[in-house]
Amino acid sequence: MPILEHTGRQGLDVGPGEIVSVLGAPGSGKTELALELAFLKVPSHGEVLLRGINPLAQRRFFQLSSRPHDVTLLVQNAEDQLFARTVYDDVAFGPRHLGVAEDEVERRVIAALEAVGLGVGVRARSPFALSGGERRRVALAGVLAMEPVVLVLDEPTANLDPQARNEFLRFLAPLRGKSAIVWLTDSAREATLADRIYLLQNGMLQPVPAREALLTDWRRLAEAGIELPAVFQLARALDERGLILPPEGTPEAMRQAIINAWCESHAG
Amino acid sequence: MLGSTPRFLSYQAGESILHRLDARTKLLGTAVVVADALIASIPAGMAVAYALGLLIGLGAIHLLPALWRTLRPLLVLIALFGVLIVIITPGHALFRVGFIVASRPGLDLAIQLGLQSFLIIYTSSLLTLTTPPLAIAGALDWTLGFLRHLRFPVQDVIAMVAIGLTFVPLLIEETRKVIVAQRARGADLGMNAMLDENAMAALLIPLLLANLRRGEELAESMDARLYGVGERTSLHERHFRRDDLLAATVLAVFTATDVVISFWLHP
Repeated sequence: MPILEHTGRQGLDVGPGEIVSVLGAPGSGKTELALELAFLKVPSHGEVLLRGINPLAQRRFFQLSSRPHDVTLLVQNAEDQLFARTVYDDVAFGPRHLGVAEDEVERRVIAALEAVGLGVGVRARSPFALSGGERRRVALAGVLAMEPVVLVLDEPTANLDPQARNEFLRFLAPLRGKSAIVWLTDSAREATLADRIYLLQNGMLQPVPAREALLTDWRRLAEAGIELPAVFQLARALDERGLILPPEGTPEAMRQAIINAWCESHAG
Repeated sequence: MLGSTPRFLSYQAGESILHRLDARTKLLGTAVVVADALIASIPAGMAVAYALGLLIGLGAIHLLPALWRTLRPLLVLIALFGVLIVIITPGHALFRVGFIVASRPGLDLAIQLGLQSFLIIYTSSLLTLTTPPLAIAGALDWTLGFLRHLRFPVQDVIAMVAIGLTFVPLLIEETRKVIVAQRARGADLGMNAMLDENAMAALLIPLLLANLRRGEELAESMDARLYGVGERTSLHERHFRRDDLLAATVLAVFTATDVVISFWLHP
């Protein structure tokens, strides 16, 4: 049974402990989908169900919001939302709002900062004294420390340095296998890190049948406006110039195919 | 709460009479209505001022429902201040509930201030709803131009006003973004957040920082494009037309009536 389910936009579901990625070109509506999945916006079509029920429909009188606190969202450019005096207090903001006891808060903050690769030294520093990339990691630690049942990430690696980008999955370690994670991204390579992939096009979701198929089905990606790995961009350009290439294949296979086709056309 | 914030004060494109009037007419007209509201006696003078306000509103009648929705929350605020004024103003007691005394002069004052402030906000909202920020800035430039002879930096101040007005919708957008982000982190930014210093910090600090950053970037990009080098000229020429003359006549007639009634007939 999925822990979180979107019944609109042709459907999305994510099971406990599963990482699902949503791949969409810029402007395909990722942020709106993220807000819907985190119960911060009512979807225009369908509804979002947490453990099979729509918490927003359960709203009672006198209650300001019935937003479930075990679903959380790391917004785009989350480093802009830091505000506390110290890194520690900022990371502790979420857990404290959940009513977690202070010694448990401390354990979670330390674990979360460790997971995102920030040492003991930064704890007492002001978040504004850190670099942009470090601040992003503090913001991520803030949602990790909430230990959410569902974590939605809205382009978490945008504007990060290449190394942090490559390591990003490792930052999520404390939640791996425990929390359901929905990762919205415009990078096909990042999307393949997830267990399952959805393609977002014009606000509609389509599951990608097999994870391995994503990169091989490059014509479909190109149609959805996704930036392709360099080898496929080359393949596409050669394709347009009449070089006969296999319709799909892994990047390595495609590379070999290009070399073979090139050699053949020049040998004759 | 989210998504329902009206675009308070921001320009709505349209084709109404108010849209067609010269920005200078509207700016000076707003100042005249404000003056009318301030000198008006209760009730007769105020009735004249409100009639003028209503007449102006008819010039952009399609905007009135949206304007009413925007101003409705302000009525609550005005009413709350009114109650406060009734209570704290000393004077002949109308009635008392326990130790709270409602005074007659307090009630008069509350009614006067309430009516005045509503009319002023209503008229200035009509100005900003029907006039693009740059046109308001241009009108300010024309109106306050004489200060240049006193070595007052009119142009710069007006540029600041224009930028400020232009950025109001962006500020609202920014506020929404911060609210969403902090709610995602478990913060409850409802009415009770107003009393919670921590919740207010979570909202205000990111907002303030974003604005400082934007201001700095804007200043740099303006410098990069040589703002302030040479004399500034205006792209659009301004013309008073017959509509403006008509509007000025209406304003003059109502103001004269207001003055006569408020100072001599029913002071």
